[in-house]
Amino acid sequence: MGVNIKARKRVVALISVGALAMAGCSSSDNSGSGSSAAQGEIDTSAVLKFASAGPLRDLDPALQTSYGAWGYLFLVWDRLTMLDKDDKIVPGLAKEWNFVEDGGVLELKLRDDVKFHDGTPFDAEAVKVNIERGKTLEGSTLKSDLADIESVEVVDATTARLKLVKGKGVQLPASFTGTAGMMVSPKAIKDGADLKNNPGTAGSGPYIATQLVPQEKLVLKRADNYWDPNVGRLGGIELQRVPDAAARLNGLQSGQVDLAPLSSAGEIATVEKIVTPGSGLQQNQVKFKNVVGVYMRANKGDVAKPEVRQAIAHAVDPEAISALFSGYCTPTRQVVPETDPSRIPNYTYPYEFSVDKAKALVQQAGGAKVSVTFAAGTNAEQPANVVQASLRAVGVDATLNPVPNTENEPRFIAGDFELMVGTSWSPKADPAATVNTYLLNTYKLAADPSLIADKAAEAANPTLSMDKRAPLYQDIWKTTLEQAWFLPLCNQTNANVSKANIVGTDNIPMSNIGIWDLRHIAVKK
Amino acid sequence: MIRYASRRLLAAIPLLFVVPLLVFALIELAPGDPAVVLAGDEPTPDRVEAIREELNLNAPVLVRYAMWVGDVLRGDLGTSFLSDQTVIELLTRRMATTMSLVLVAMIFAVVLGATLALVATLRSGGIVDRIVNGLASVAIAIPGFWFGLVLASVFAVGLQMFPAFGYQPLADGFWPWLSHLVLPGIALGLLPAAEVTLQLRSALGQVMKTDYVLNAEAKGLSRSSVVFKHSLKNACIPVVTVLGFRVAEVLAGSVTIEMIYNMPGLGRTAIEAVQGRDIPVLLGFVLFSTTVVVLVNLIVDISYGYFNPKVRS
Repeated sequence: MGVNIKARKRVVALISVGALAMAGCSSSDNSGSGSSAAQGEIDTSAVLKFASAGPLRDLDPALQTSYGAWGYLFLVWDRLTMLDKDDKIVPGLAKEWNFVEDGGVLELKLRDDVKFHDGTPFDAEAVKVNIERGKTLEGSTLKSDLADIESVEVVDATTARLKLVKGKGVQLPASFTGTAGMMVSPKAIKDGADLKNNPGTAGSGPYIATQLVPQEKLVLKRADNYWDPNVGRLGGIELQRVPDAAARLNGLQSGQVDLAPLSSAGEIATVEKIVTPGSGLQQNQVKFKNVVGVYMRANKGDVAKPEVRQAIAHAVDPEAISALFSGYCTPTRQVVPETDPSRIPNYTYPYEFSVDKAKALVQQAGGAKVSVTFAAGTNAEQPANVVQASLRAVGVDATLNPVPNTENEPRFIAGDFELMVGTSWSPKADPAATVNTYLLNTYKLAADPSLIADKAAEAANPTLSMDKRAPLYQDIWKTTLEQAWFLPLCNQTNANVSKANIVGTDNIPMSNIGIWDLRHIAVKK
Repeated sequence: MIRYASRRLLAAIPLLFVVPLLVFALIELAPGDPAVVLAGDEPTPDRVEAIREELNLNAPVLVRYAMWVGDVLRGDLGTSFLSDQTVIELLTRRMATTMSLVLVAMIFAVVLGATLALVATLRSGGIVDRIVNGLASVAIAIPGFWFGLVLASVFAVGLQMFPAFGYQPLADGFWPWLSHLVLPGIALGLLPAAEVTLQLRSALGQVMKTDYVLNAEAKGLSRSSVVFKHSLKNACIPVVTVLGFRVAEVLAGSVTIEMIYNMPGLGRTAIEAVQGRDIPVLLGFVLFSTTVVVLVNLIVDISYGYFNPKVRS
């Protein structure tokens, strides 16, 4: 698994790789297979070397500020519920969950065979302690996730009842698939364990953290006697933060890395070239749920004029954006993916690409001036340039506004920009959370909330089945698109690239939103 | 000599406070809000304000600067906004990486540069001399990051002779440590190596034309004896000066090399601090870098005084 540092004088390889480096080209075949089918004897002592760009600040689930860090935590902390690779909510520490008492209570039935690695039994009291911690801890980023829970009642060791704010909380089973559902040993909490840097045995996850170097690496060892025998099949995992995609690719090719996710079009194109029969590498491509699109602040500047937003929606061609990504960004005109039950069937987007219609609307608005904000040096950069050119072509005075990658989202949320080209529209596991995050709260794209608020409240009724909720969300999506609060363009492609002996790369839940749950990964002997 | 060194040292101290002040001002003038960045992917106004209060970001810039200076004088550079680590702890750990990288780069530059310059001088006017000059001139124009990528492609990916990225502390063993530094060290050391070659070759050329050298040659001393025993020390003055300046440039160049080779060094620390608006780390980095540059310049000045006593007066 390590680096082969034996000096091998392979002159042919030197010449060919050198030429490759100079010319930036390579062979073009693609083995392109996943790995689960290729089963073999599992090497339970293997240590997987994983490299990703995800931020790695600390391990306390209640203090995470970035979704990108979740992948590190999934392996340490078990969650009440989990997502499978098809985005279906499946049992975790909670075996069952039901909304009872007219939706006023979410009742969780818990596993009875789980202990935290420090020996503390996992039970309803642990759920209560963790939810109360998430709601009250200073600096907790879980407060909004848990806001719909008024209190937690411990019925018995395996039953917890979460009393909900009236008419709210429908998204909680989905929220529990993330940091909000991660369980920490009550004993460790009581003892004031350093959950940020050295959680030790405070988790009940398939692996135990043995070393954390913030922003650099996390070293894990397998937790013995994990409750799910199909998980935790590695001796350990070394997760390294490698922000530069070229370095990750080099690491894969040199044997220094066993598994790494790659995402931009350039990276995927390179992957297509290097993953060839005999290369010792395999890839598994995943279409992102995240939507590349244009966020519009419909109460700011000229974007506040409906005609201008409609003109912008007419002016940008999703096919042109897709072409920028060498076809690795599938055009879409909806805000949720095919797998989402709230996806609108047989939908016709109201603003087809039309330069003439866009020009007419700009003239009708008496001209328009907008600033096209984007995160410099990211996958949003090229689309932003195309959007700007498209807007200029229809008479909009559009200028580019590059900002640092860490600032574009928070500053858009803070209301600094009227228009932003982004890649981060990430449909949540439950449509209620998507509405809450992007339309009514955090991003507040719904400039006129009254257009959707009633339907959102009705759809958030926990007693309704998804069949009944889905049409309400479909109406909300239609309003969102008609109002041009958000202009969806395409879904990018992600590739999990690994050595050929890695198993389970086609079963990495959440890799379709740029996060990775590596619990199913193993290594063949 | 001691008075001269002390005078130079005292003159440099104000720089250590002026440069961070300029950085403080630049951070203040730059658009954006550290609290908003630190609040994460989906910040709420309450959380942003809480962070602002916690980090004292609402105080005027001069007040915050004065507090920072006070803390520095007490030996406290603060705590990173992005992690629980103190700035001193973070910089100390990452300094080892960068210092190792700079050390390997400078050793490579001096050994290669001096060797080529001496070979060229011994073959003065011949084809070897012209080839060395030509190669050095080309090497100066090669961007370090591009050379770094090529080296990684050929020697890490292709031949798998060295790791493609990362860093191993010296405590893990000499070869693991060195193997991670060879490629980035060469990439970083190429430019100073070329400059050492050209400067030393040029300086040796001039010294070789002086009367005392011509006299030595006339006495029948061998060319190698003339070069090594009578010319090299005098020719070192401009080379030492160049090397001094290059240390600062190599430190700056380490930023891109550390990113290419994913080395957890000061360069990567600085980039992460800028991206994450991690003000304490950024200021700590600036203070450290300024100190290094000041010290290197001081050493250059002092060595200049050693080589040429007239400078001391």
